[in-house]
Amino acid sequence: MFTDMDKVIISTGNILSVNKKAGQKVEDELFDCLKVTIDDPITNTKTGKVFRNNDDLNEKITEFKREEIKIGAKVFLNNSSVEHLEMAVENLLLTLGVHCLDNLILSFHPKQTTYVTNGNGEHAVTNGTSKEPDTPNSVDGKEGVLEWSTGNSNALNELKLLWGVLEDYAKQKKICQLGIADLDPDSFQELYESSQVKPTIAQINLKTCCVVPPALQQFCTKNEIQLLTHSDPEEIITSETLSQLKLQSFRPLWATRYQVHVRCRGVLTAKGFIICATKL
Amino acid sequence: MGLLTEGSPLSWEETKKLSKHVQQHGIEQFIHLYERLRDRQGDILKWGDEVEYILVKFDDENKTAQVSLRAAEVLAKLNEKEMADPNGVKSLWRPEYGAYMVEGTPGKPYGGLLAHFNVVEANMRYRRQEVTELLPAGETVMSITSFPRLGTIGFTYPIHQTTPDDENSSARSLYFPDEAIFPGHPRFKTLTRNIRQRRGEKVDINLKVFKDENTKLPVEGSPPGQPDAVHLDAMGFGMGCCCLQLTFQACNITEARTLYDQLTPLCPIMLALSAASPIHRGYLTESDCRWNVISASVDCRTAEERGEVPLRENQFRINKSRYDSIDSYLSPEGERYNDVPLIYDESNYQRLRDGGIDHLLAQHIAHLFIRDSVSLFSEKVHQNDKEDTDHFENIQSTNWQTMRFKPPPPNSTIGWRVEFRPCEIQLTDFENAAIVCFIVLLTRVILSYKLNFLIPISKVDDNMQRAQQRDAARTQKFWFRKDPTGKKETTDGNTNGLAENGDASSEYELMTIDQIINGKDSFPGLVPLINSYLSSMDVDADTHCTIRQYLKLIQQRASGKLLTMASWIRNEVLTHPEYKKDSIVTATINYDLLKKAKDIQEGNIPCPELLGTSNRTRTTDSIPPAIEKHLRGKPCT
Repeated sequence: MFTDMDKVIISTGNILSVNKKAGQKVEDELFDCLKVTIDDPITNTKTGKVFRNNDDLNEKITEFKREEIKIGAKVFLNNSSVEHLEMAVENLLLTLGVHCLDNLILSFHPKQTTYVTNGNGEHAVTNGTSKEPDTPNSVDGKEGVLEWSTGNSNALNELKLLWGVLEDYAKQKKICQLGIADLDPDSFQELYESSQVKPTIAQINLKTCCVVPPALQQFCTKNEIQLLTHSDPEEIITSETLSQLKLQSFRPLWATRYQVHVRCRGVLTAKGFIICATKL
Repeated sequence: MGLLTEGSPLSWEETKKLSKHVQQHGIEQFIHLYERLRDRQGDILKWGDEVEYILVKFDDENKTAQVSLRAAEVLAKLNEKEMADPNGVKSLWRPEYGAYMVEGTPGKPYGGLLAHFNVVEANMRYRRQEVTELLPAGETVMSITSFPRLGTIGFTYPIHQTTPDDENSSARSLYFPDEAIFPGHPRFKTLTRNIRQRRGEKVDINLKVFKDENTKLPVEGSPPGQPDAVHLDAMGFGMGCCCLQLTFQACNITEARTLYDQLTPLCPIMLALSAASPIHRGYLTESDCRWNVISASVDCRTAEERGEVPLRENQFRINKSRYDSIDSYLSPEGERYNDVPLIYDESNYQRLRDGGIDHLLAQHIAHLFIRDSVSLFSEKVHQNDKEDTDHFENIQSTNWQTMRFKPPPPNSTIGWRVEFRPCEIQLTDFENAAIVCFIVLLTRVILSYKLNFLIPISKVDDNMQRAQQRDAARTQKFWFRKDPTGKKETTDGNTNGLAENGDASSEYELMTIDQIINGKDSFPGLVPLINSYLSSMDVDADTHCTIRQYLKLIQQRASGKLLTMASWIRNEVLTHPEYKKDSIVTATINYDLLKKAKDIQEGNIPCPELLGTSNRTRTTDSIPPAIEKHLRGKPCT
């Protein structure tokens, strides 16, 4: 049983034909998708990977030539860990069976916690109270992007380290376009100036799409950066969610979501999540 | 109205003699084009809207508003730009039935990017501006479904008399003079005359009057035995209405069939939601929509074909006018819901089958071809069936149905297309863009999530009538599929979800428009489905902001929080100081109504009860460079 493992990587496969609920919150969608995966799993105890039985992801991807589809992904990190980010990207490439992603967006929301490095090179939470999800920036009509780095003075430096990982993937042509979610205009600009491979996507919460901060809007227009929307929470999965999924005493390390679009047709052909969790 | 073949029109007697010729060769032409194009694959999404406008002349001194018969003159100028730069213009202009109408489309189709949704409204605005610049002072271009006082004395500018007793008149209408028919092309008068002559009498349109406290019965002009009918007697009452249509290209013929079928049950829903025409010939009626009016206005069936007398000369009893809701689905999934008997000539059907065409498509084409040509030009009688398609198009383009399945034109880069035709035109560019974007988004959601909206054709027909009732958007219920996501069907391997005996009645139920659009416990709702789709797409902030405003409009119209155009018009009449509770829309009421509508369309006054409070969008003329930049080598436009 995979709950016996120290670390699990759960891959939902293509959930388009599985979860057709409309208007769900992203965290609820992820929960439902993990649930159907865990209910009918294929488990590889050696690799610690769990897949959903009867998944058609690979058929959906190989149905088209690679250049006919656009594969985009987003990595959700709440800890500053280069290793987690690398693991997340490697698992995306492996799961999708492709050499390169068309775009990858990083969502990095550091918790208001202190970190120590454990023996595995991972950053473990020692004082882990997670931030209330869904609190900030929820007022419609109010000017947008949250104060991204509130309560963590080192956040931008941590982000730059993580960005370096993504730059390496971009240089190896494993990711075509890099993006970053939820940064305030100043942080975004600083990341942009300091990076070798520039972000070409700035993702902001849908709630703010009609009230984008002018500074961010202008910077994006000037530098031909795509300003895209999302409706994701800062913390897409929590230990509480995992325990509701009968993964008691697990905590999430990273999560990714991918979407496969048929180019120029506006059709979504596959979508899925991968999450990694470890025993507390 | 599609491609207009130039030339000399034949008389009805000549056309009638060639009817079999056109049918036979039209079918051969379809067989050839099908053989050439059936396997065409990989076309990208391209789509476009068609907006029809009327030209209105205001006389502020006398407080009257008339339709201005200036379309031919305006059109000539509009077309000059296109002729000078056919590929560079931002809009294309075509004639429509009325001498007071023009039809505008974007210069190039929109493409498969979400950012295209943000240029639709700007282009519509540009089109309106383009016409406005060509009009003299006192005249305005308006997107209004039916001119309220069409067919009343002096409704045109300049004024023309009707000539019902003149044998050379095309319409011979008591109310609608021939001069109000577009004079710049012979097609329109020819159609008018041929439909009348084929029918053997004038068309006969009767709408129940809205009975108010002081409504006088019988209504002036009502036929014997129908004292409460507003009577109309000319093609112009229908084809002189404006509508909003959109066409999109499918990636192949299979996708086109799927979209044709899946959008069919949406037709009555969108008709009710876009309802905008409660007044005809100066009377408030019980109907909110143009549909039945147009249907009857081009009803060329004889009394035999309508079933009023036994068949003697004619071949078939025909249930519907050539302008009506579709009669059959085209996809294999739709086949079981084809519960209305299809009428067609067995030999035409057999010829199509022998030509390699499957049952569903063959019966669809054969059914279209029960109609005679009502407009034939001498130059086009003899054709090369292997290359030409005029005879096919002749019949296809005069079957004016809710949906149209369109094969690629000969020698073009265009693929298989589907046209969505039920919607009434809205007052503002904002509303029209909202409807267009909603439907195109819905097609993407249908394809992405493989949704299924199919219900029996007979239920769609039933819904079409419900949709036109007064205030249908708020008060009617419609047959709709309970579970479009099809979760339940897959478990027992019965993918059609039908019971063993083929009964589909457990699959659908009556729902309000609010429930269909916004959802309820057991039904997700079309807008929530669209929102789920959008959250999985890369949407730029401005486009998403605009789309949210469009969806909000649709949602609030559906919930009843906002009025339909039809309800807004009714309110304006009923609360007008000059209204005498007699159902009559006087010249002054008409003037004030249209004047106010003009101020709203131009943004001079707000109209929160119709448009909500958030109707200024971030629509823009072109796709942002940041998005275009990442399309290198992958043109989606």
